[in-house]
Amino acid sequence: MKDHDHKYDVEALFHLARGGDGQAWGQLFTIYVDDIYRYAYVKLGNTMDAQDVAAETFKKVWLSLRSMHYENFRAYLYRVAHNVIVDTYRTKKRITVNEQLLAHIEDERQRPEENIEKKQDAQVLYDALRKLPKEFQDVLQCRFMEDLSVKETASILHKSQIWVRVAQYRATKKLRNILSDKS
Amino acid sequence: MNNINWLSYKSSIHIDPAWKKRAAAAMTAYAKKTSNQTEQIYGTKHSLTPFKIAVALAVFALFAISPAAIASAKYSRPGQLLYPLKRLTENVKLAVATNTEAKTAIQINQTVERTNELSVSIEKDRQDQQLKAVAEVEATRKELEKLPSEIKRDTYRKIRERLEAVKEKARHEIVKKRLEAIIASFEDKLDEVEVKKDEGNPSPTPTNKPQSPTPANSSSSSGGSSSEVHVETNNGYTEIIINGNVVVTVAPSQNESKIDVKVRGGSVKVNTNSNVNSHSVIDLQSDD
Repeated sequence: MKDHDHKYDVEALFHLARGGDGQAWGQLFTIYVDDIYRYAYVKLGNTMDAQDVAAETFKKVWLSLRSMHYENFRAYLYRVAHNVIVDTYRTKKRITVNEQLLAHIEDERQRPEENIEKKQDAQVLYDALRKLPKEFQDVLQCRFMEDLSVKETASILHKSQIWVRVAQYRATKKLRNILSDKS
Repeated sequence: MNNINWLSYKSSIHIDPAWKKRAAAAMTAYAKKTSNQTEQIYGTKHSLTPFKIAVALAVFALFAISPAAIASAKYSRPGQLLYPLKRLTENVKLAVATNTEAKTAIQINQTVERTNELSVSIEKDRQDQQLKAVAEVEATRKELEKLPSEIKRDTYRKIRERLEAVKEKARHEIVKKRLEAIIASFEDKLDEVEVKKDEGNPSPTPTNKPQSPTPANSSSSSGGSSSEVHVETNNGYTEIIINGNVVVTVAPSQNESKIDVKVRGGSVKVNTNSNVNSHSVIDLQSDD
């Protein structure tokens, strides 16, 4: 479970939403939508699709909220998002260009004084990740970008915990090799 | 992963604040609008869905009740202590059956079991149990109506034959009368199914039917007036048709040259020729 600043408030909001409070659900959306959007964006590389996935995910989770426990809530959001993304992949051709990241890099060219090194790191990492098999990308994204536990990652990707550990080890090793080749 | 800057990658992706604000408002409105739907889908706040309750009951039935009790209940009859347990295990079997074929087979077996229970109750000469067993048999008729039509016909026949055999053994007048009523209702159902079948596969009218080589041999069972009598075979069953109406069906096991059959309102003796073929001519003679 990711530690939010307002952990106890969030738990209270969850219970209010579970009792049918739409206002509380709107606030939970505001808290978690960044995570879900980012998760979808890294996979789809497209702002519109990522926004659609985020909205669809929250709608689906809302309808099944009554049967859920707070402890599993965040992982469940990712899991539903993952399933919605898989459906989106099936219906749409995957867009491989990370348009927002490219736009940021373009911004940096115009404003070189602002932390250009950081943005270049992001681009390097983005390119290296794209060279990994999709399953490895999923594992690394869940574990290191979204700070999800092995158990939560396994649940989201519909895999066993052992599979996640092994995939994480291999993916990390491969990513290091790609990055060291570049440098 | 110290040398990989995940944070820079993570911070390079951020959501459009205007969209986020709009989407949050839309999500709040959606949640308010559909808050009743969540209750409809999941029932109560305790998230006890009907499926969960059914599974819990099935698990209780299978594990909380001892296997010995279930085994003893297998041979119980209506009116006995363990009979409800027997019916419960039957219903669990029916509920967990996955496909339609398995459910149909279980339903037919249950109906046959009801007739067996009645038969045993009659042998034991317990009038109270017999009446309860008769009531159980009556109840199965409604269940059988849910069966697919192609199976319904054979099942009605089978059950009717079994009930007729049971009726022969019955000693109490009230049991006999109720059994007669049930048999009659099964015959009505059988007629309905056969009429539907005829409507579904319209056969040539009696006048258009191929005439038998020796139509002069045909005669009605009573009164001696001339009628068109034909025999047709259908799925191994021999059907006797008088003036275009199926009046008697004979099971495949009764493949003899002389067949005693019961027609509603009396019994007749059917003299078939050596081989019963489609549109064979037969003689119907009064049994009395």
